[in-house]
Amino acid sequence: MVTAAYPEIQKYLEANDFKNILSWCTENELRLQQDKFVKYYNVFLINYLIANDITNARFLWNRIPSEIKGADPHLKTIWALAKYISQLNYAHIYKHLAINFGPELAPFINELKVSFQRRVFDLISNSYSNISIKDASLYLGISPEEVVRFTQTNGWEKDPSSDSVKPVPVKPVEQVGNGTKKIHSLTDYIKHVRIEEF
Amino acid sequence: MDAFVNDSSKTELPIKNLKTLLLKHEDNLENNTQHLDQVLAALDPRTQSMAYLIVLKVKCGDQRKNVQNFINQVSHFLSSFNGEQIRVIPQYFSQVSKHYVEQLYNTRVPSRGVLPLKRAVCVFPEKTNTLTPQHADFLQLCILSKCYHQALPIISESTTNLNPEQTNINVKDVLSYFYYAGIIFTALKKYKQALEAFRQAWTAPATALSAIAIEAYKKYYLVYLMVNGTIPGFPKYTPTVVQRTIKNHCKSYVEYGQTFTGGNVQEIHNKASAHAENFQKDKNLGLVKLSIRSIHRRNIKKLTQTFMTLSLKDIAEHVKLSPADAETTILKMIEDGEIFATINQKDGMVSFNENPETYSGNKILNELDTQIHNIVTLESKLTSINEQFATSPAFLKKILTNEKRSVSQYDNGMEDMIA
Repeated sequence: MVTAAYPEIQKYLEANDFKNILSWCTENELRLQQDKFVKYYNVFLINYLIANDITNARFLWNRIPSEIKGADPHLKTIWALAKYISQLNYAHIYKHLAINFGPELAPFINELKVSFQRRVFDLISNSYSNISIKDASLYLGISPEEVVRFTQTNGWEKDPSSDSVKPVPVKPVEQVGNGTKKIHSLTDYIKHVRIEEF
Repeated sequence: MDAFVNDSSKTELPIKNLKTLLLKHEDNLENNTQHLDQVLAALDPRTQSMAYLIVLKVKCGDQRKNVQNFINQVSHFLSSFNGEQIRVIPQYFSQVSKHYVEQLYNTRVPSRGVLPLKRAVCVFPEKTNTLTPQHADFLQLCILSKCYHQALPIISESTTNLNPEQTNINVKDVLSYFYYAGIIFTALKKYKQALEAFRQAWTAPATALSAIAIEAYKKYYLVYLMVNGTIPGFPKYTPTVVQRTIKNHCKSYVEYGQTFTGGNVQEIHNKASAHAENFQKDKNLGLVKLSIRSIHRRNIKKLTQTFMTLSLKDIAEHVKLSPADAETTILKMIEDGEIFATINQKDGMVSFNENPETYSGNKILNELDTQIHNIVTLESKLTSINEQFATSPAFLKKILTNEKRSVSQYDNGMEDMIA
């Protein structure tokens, strides 16, 4: 474990709570003095990508003062990565993800890779009834052999005749509702309607 | 000066008396601008908000002030003021806030004002959901500093209160607010809300055309083309003057729109570059480009309504894209939930599916719950406005005179007939 490179968000990082890291950055970008926030710009940018929010990532990039962009070599690389993600240029995305960003950024880049792969995997599962192993390997950024092994654990069948695999759709996890809250709002509505009547 | 500082801490007085007391010093302050910074240093913006604001307002008129100092003082004030004391002098508040935005713009540090003004819009109005002149100022800063996300929570709330006496808000503030809100929604790709905000700006009751309405209409027109692929019409409640004249001010847009609905990509490109200078001048060229990009997606969407399955090659031909690009576009559309389809690479076929949503899940239930909640709140609001009218003497008097007039007209008519 690296000794806290980003002390303010260390507790979120240890809990793998990237959502809170993003809200911390959003909160403090304007609140902190710029010289204190400067080292967080790259974390902020990567976390927008983890959240798959290219639009806000672009505005963040436009906001970062140019002298800071020049001073931090990683910022430009992360922005290049953002552009490839928005164009869905898979080959370049995985090439950029493999770059060594140094130990401080590694946990974020790692999470970005995992979440991006998960997103693409879900997308392929639901959008293809049949996909060539070559394309699947490109989309997921893993070797053809790994594609076969990985997809088979997820119940995909291999079609030997055409060197392709048959994806199985994944269903989104249904959220369980809060019954008490529902009853509460229901009584509120009924109360409202009754008041109307009298 | 000392007398002013002394008076300013008499917060035990009724707030109206405090106001009269403090405003008596205004002339004196104006004549002694060189001492204003000292006065401010002696005041606490939390407990002596009214006095602090009066001094800041006087500083707005001082041409020789140190701008950096002024910005710092206003930021400090906005981050800590007490809303109760400010509500009695709203015109001072809006003047200071406007001047503050102007100075931030001139010194090119708009982002510094975002958080202080964000607090101001939340703390200043007595009731929530009240639109204030500071709303427009705040949005303007968000746009200038590209902090669009900071504005999103504010503009997503529906504003249902306007209180001109209390906030000193005027028509220009309201129109600018909706215009800026539209720009922010567009930037964040929330096009449905953007259209709504722009429409508020150009359909607002009017007896003359305003420049804000025209600019809002131009952006509305392009976003509407991009989202729907057709030319927008006028809602019934659009003021007559807008219906008659607004298109004269947007000729390039109307021409572009006519070509756009023709669907010929080459012609659309030509039209866009023919008017590029106008679009560029209005800072709308980006929207024009986005509208062109939306054509492919809309054409693919049209195909889903006609066919159950279609080969990738045919789709590519229909929408004039390469097969690989067509596949990427379809994949993106599936991800965005625009179409429901599965691609079969082995056969090179795409099958279009029905919307798999069964409208029975928890997500829909929650959505329904939020919607009902919003409607109930809105309904209560309407009822209270209705009650206000029903008990307003001015309104009742008007109704009564109108009734009398119509009755007497009717009587005269009868008499004429008899005669």
